[in-house]
Amino acid sequence: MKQLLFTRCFRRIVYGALVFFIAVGLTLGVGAVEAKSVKDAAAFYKGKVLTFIVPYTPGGGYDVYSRLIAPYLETYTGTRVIVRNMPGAGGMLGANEIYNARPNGLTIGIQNCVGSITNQLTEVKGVRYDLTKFSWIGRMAINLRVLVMRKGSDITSIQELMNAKRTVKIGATGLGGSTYVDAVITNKVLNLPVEVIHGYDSSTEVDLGMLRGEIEGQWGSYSSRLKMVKAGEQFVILQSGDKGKRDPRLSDIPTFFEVTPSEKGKRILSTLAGMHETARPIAGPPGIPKERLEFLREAFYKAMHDPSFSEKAGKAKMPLNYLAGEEMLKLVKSVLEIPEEDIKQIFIQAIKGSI
Amino acid sequence: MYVIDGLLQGFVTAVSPGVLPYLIVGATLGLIIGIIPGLSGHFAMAMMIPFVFRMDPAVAVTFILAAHAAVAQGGGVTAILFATPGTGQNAATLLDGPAMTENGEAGRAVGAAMTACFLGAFFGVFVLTILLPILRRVVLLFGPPEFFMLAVLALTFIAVLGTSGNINKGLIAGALGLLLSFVGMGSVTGETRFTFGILELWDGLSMVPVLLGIFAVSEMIHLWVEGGTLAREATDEHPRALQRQIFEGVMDTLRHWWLVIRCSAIGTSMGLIPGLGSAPAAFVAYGHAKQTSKHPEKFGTGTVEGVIAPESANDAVEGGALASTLAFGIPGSSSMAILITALIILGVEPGPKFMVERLDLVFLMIWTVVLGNFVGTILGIVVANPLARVTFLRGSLLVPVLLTIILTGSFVIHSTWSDMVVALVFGLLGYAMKRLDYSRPAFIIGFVLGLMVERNLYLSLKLYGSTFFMEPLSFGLMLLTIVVLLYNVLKMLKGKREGYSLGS
Repeated sequence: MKQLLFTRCFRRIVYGALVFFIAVGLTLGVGAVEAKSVKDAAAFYKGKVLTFIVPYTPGGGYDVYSRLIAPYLETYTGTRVIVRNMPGAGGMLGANEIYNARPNGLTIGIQNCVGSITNQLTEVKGVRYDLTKFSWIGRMAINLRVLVMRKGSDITSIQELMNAKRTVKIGATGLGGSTYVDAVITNKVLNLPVEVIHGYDSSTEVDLGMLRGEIEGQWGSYSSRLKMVKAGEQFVILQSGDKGKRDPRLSDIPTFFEVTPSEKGKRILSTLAGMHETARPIAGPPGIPKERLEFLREAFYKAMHDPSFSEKAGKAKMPLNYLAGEEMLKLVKSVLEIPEEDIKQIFIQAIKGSI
Repeated sequence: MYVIDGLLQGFVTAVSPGVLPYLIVGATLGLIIGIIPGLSGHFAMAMMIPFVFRMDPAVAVTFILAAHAAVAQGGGVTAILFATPGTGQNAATLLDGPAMTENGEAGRAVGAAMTACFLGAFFGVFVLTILLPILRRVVLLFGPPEFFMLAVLALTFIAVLGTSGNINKGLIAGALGLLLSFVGMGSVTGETRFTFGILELWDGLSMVPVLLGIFAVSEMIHLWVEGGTLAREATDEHPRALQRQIFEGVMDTLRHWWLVIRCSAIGTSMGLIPGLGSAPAAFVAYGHAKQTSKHPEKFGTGTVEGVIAPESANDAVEGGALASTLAFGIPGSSSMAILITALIILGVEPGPKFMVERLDLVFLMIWTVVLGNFVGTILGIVVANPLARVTFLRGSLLVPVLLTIILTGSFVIHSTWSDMVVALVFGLLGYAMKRLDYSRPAFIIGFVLGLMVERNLYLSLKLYGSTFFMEPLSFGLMLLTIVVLLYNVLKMLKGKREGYSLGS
């Protein structure tokens, strides 16, 4: 009863605030001259505050990416960019926040698109967004996923893993997280003799487990594995590739498509690879006026191609893979609209941990 | 003897004119951040990242790490004077620190705490330095079974931490803490637990707002209800008197050197558990001090050992947390994760090769922890004097200001509004527990260790099967746990026979 009363009160406050903001918005909207071209959009943005939502706490990868590009977005939009960290529900809270912000083009944000996709696919309670309706501005980076093994393991290639006569233990973080989903999907497609041990707090704890020898391998993004690989503690035996091709940095490591004989398996993996290609995109809420969205996309393009920005990103070991907003939308759609029901079910089961 | 050589070189770099100013500025910033409730070392370091982009790696490391080192001192001062944990790691200091202030011994408590902080930190990095050649092997000794056993060992201190003779209340408080630690998404099952459809609860209750609520907000409610001032006893307000007290406190810590060493050892070994942080170590050290004390009944009423124990443990943790950071480039705490980020930005690759290639930085880090703590200790003693005068202000003036700072502090860590609600709700809970004499430390121990126990038990069972506790080190830890428990039970039975119960 109390709970109900509380919700009702809360709702009233929220509605009240909404009505107030809409009223203010209308007044301002009528007063302002409708922006009609990109030039007008530039005039609109000049001197305004652009809120940039990061769905994680300060210090993490998404935060560092955002804070790196923020000054360049300022330069090319003429705004003052304020990075707002809104952690919660594994990034879902922030994604909800971006989606439900006022679509005036002054609130945008980065999101963990792999997480957003898995949440939408499994219809998790609490999802308040539709990935196909975001105003996509562009992508900052993909996740090149790799399977690494520990130094000293007798399994040195994916062929040896496929033919192994014993069970190989692979570590993962939480159930339904990408380290877990990658492992169970590839297990299923390639029929690997792998047991996935999940429950580690973070991938760095899996690293410790690999150093101790209790775990032999793990899936992860190449950039996060780079340190251990360079140190010779871990080595890559399989990669997700970029658009089905081997990444130039890993030209002698096969992609998982290369070792998959069946067409069906390839289709499953291309969904998985597509998920990781979405990775770190920037988007605003649906319904941003067209010319403003165009302006933001252009500014993002310029920021991503600013030589001093790419130099900084390179120094911080943060790879960049620009993708335009329109392409991003196509990519998200292609991943979400899995035509075959059984493939979709495989993903849902993998995310829910019932494989 | 590359260790001695390196130590000398590290010292020379640390006090060189190009580095020392940064160390002092960093430590000062850290102290200020520590004094403000809720802002932690983690926050101090994250804030400094933008400044280090153009620095030389050696300077940057000194700057960031010095800030981190001095945070505990600032937090200790706040804990003692304002009954508010300046940072999470100082929560255990609240058990006796504010009581000493109330008794008019604020200066003594601050002096003792500051000295204990420094000695603890010194102990931590001393152990680290000795272990440097075999650091990798030491870090690898600890896996899920060992973490599980360490956490269980720490949980047994719930029995000691009961504020009254009523052990049931201690257990109830501990169980409540365990229960609440499970709120959120379980990493084992992937299910959300006790979230009632509230998205904000998915990531669980974060520690700092809970700590601030349980200890700080509740004290504010208490002060508001009771009226009066934080320092209840009329003391000599003359600065000289306070200085004398501080000196007395410093001597107190030195006199209890054996306790400092034992508590520092607890801190350093618990620092090896990744992601645990220093709050639990401080509570365990407090429990240990109480357990081994000749007068356990005085704990909680303002005894100086109750300040020395947690303050020496919480800074000794750094030694343990640095171990895996240095040995493998794997962060032992969130602060270390930020340090590693900074190093990567500066082009230094912290990782397995770091210890070989950048040994100069390793020793510089060790010296920074020592010297940063030293600066923090001195500054902490200096600021205690003016800050202590504030405690003579009327509660009705102080509460609104402190409460604002506390709530802001709980908001800032993750910049989420819901954390303020958490702090307020737990403030009410903490006040109720205080009034009804349920042990808040027992609650916190349960709360911070619950997930640790669950996750590591699951991993141990999956990895080693049901006999995982037969691994040599975890077997030893299990025996130790049993001994500690038996000791407590026997002591309690004996106490009952003699007509008083433990810790009453």
